[in-house]
Amino acid sequence: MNSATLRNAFAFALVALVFGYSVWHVLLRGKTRDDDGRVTLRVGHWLMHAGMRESFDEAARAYERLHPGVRVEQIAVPIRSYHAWVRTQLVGGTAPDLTGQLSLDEEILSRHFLPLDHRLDLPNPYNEGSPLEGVPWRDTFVDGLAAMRAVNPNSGELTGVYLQLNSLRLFYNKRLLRLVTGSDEPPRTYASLRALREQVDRHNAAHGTSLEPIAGCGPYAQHFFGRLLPSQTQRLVTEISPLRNLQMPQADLATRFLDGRLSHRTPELHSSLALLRDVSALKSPGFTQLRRDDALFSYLQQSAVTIVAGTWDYAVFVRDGDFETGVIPIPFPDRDDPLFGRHVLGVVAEGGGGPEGMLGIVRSSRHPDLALDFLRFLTSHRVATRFTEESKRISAIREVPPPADSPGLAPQLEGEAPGFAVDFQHFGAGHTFNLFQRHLHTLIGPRGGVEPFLEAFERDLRGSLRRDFATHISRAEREAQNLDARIGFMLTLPDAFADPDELERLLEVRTLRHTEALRHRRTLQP
Amino acid sequence: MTSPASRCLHGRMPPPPRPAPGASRLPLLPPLLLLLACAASAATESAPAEGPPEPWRSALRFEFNAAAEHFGRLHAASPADTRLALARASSLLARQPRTQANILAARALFERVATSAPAGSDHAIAARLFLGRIAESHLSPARLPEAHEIYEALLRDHAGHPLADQAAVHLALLLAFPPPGEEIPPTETLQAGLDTLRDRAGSPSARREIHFLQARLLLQEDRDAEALPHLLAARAIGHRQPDRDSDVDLTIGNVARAVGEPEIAVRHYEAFVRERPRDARATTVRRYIAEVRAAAPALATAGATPAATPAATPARP
Repeated sequence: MNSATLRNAFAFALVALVFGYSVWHVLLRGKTRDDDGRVTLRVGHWLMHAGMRESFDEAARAYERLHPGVRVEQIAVPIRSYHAWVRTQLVGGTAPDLTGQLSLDEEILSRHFLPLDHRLDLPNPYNEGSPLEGVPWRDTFVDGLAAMRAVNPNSGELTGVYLQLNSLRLFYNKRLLRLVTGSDEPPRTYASLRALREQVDRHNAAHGTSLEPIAGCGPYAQHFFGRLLPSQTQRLVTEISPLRNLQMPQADLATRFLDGRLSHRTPELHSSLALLRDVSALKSPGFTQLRRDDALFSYLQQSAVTIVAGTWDYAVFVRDGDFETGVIPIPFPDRDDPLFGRHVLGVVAEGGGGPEGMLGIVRSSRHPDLALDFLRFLTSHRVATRFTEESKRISAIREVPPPADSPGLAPQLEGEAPGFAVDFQHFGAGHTFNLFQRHLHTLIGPRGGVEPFLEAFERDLRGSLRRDFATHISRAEREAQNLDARIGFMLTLPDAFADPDELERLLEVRTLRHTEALRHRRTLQP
Repeated sequence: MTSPASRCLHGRMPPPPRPAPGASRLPLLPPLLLLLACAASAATESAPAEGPPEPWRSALRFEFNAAAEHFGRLHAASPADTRLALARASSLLARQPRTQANILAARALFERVATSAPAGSDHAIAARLFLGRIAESHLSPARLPEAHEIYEALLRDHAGHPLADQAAVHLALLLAFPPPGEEIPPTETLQAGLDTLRDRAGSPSARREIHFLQARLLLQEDRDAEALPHLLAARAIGHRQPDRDSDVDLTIGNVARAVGEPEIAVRHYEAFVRERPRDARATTVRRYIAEVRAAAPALATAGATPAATPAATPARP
C-alpha cells in the first residue's frame, strides 16, 4: 500500500468516523427515555439574565418532584448567538421540546411550532387552589395572549405563550442620589431629571468626582428615545391620525413627509429632536458607541447616579450592586414643563409591556403532551409567583403581584396615549432609520444641534423614504399574494376540516394587505 | 512547492491521479452514509402531527414548495378532481422562487377549473375569482382591464355568492385606487360608484369591506360626518380578524364625538376600553368618555364638540 492510498484511506476513515459520531448523536437525541427510564424534556431559551436560569431550575426540580419519571433539562444560549442557534436547531429538527421564540417570524413559527389554540380554551390544571382555578388557560395571561396573536397576523394561530412582561424604567442609586441632590426623592418629571445634570456637575466640581447623571449605551438609548420622544407628538396624533384611532402608521407619516404636509421642522417634530438632544446631554459621553454591558458596568461601579434600563435588568442591580437601587417609571415632561410641555397631553402610558420569555412546543418534539404539561406548570399561578420573586421580573400571569421589593416594575397602565417617534425605525427596509442614525452625531454632539442635523439629514431624506416605501408596498403585496394561496388551500380542504370562519378571516386580511399596497402606490409616483 | 489551488490558478493542472488500489470500494461509502443518515432521520421522526392531512398541512405551515410538489402528484393522478386542481394552482401562486411560469401554470389550471366545474359551483366561482386576482396582483405587469372584466362578469353572474361578492370588493378597490397616471374620480362620483358596487354585493363580509373603504376615503378628506354611517354599518356586520372590531370602535368613538353624536361616541368608546383595558390608549379613551358624558347635555342642545378635549383642536391639512 503506497502513501497516497494510506492518505486516502485515512481521510475516508476520518470522514466516516465523524459521520458515524453525528449519526449516533442524532440517534441518541431521538431516544425517548434515558438509561434510568426517565423521559428527558428539553427547554431551550436565551434568558440568561440574573435569576432566570435559577428560576427555570427551580421550576424544573419542582416539576420533577411531581413527575418522578421526567427529567427537565435547561439549555440556555447567549442572546447574541441565539438567533442563529434557534434557526439551525429548528431547521435541523433538533430543537428542544420547548423552544424560546425570540425574533422568529410568522413563517418559522407556523412551520416549526404546534398551534396551541384549542388547548388554551381549557383551564390550566396546575391552577387548582389558586385565584385562577377554572379560568381558561388563555385568560390567565394578562392580555389574553393578544401580544402573541399579533405575531401571527396572517395565520391567526397562537404558537406559544409567554412568561413575563418587559418595560423600561429609570433605576437610581439611592446613596448617590442623596449625595448629589441632598434628597431621597428621585426625579419623577423630565424637568427634575434634567436638573440632575447641573446637580451632578456641581457635585463633581466640589468633590473632584466624575459622576454621570445617566449611564447610557446605544441600544438602551434607542429604547429610551422610543419611550420619551412620542410625548412631543401626543397632541399632534389626536389631530392627524388617519383613522382617528390615536395612531399614526409609519407609512401614513411617510406620505405626509413626501407630500410636504409634515416635516421635522413641524413644531412637534422639531421639539422631539430638541428633546433627543437635550436628554442625550445627561448620558455618558459617546454613549451611542457603548453596549449594554458597558452601561450596566458603569452603573454598578457607581459612576452614574441613574440608568435607564429594562425591567429585565433589575435582578442584576439587586444581585451585583453594593448599594440600594430604586425604581421609577420613565420621567416625562409634564404639561407645565417650560421647554417640552407645550405638545404634551400627559404621562405616556406604556400599555401592558412587551412579551418576554415566549416559549412554544416544536413540531419535532418527541413528547408534545409532556411539553404542554410543563408549559402549563411554568405558567401556573404558583410557579409564576415563585418565578417573579426569584427573577425580579413582572409576570405575564394575572393575579401575580410584582416582586415584593419593587412595585415600581409593574406596567404603567395609566397615562395618555403615546404619539409617534420621528426616526422611522420600523418603516420599510430601514433606509430612513439608518440615515437618521448616521447623522445622529450632528444632533447630539457638543457642537451639534437640531439645525446642523436637519441640514445633513434632509439632504437624503426623500430618497430614503421612497426606497422604504417601495419595500413597504412590495411587502404588503407579497403578503396579499401569499394570502391568496392560503385562501385556495382553505377552500380545498377536505370537508372534515373546512373552517368557514377562518376562510372569511383570511379574505378580510387579504383585503387589508392589498388595500395597504394600493393606497400608497400613488405616493411613489414621480 | 505549489499548492493544487495555485497550480490550478496558473493553468498547470497535473493530470488526474490514477485510482489507488482498493479505491474501487470507496464509491460505496457515500450511499452507505446516506442510508445511515436516512435511518437516523427515520429514528428521530417526530410525534404524529394533528390537523388537516398532507399536503394541506404543509401548505398551511407556509411550506409552499413541498406542498406544490405533493399537490402536483395528486393532481397528476386525478386530473379531473377540481378540488385538487384548485389546490395545486394555489400552491403555484406561492411557490418560491416566484416565477412568471408558475403563475401562468396556475392560471391555466384555474381556467380549466372555471370551465370544467359546474358554473355555479364553489370551485368554478373560486377559480374565476383567482383568475381576477392573478391578472390584478400576480402577473407582472398587472393586467387591470382584464381583472376588471373578470370581476365584473363574476359579480354579474353570481352576485350573492360570498366568493363572487369578493369581486365587488376588488372592483371597489380598483375604482378607489386607480393605477398611477390615471385620475381619481371626484369624491361624489367615487362614492356613488362604491354605493352601487356595495348594493350589488349580497354577502355581509363584502358589504363590510366596501363600507370601510368608503369611510376611509371620506376620513381622508375630513368628511367625518359622512364617514360615520359607513363605519357604523361595517362595525354592525363585524370583523373576523382579532382586535379589528375594537379598533373600529375607537374610530367610531372619535368620529362620533367630533360630529356631535355623544351617545354613539360613548357606546363605542366603552366597547373599546372593555375589549382593550391594557391598551396604551385606554386611559385617554376613559378620559374622553368622562368628557363626553360631562358635556352631553350641552351637546344635545348645541350640537358642539366638547371644548376641553384634544380632538377639539382644528384639524390640520
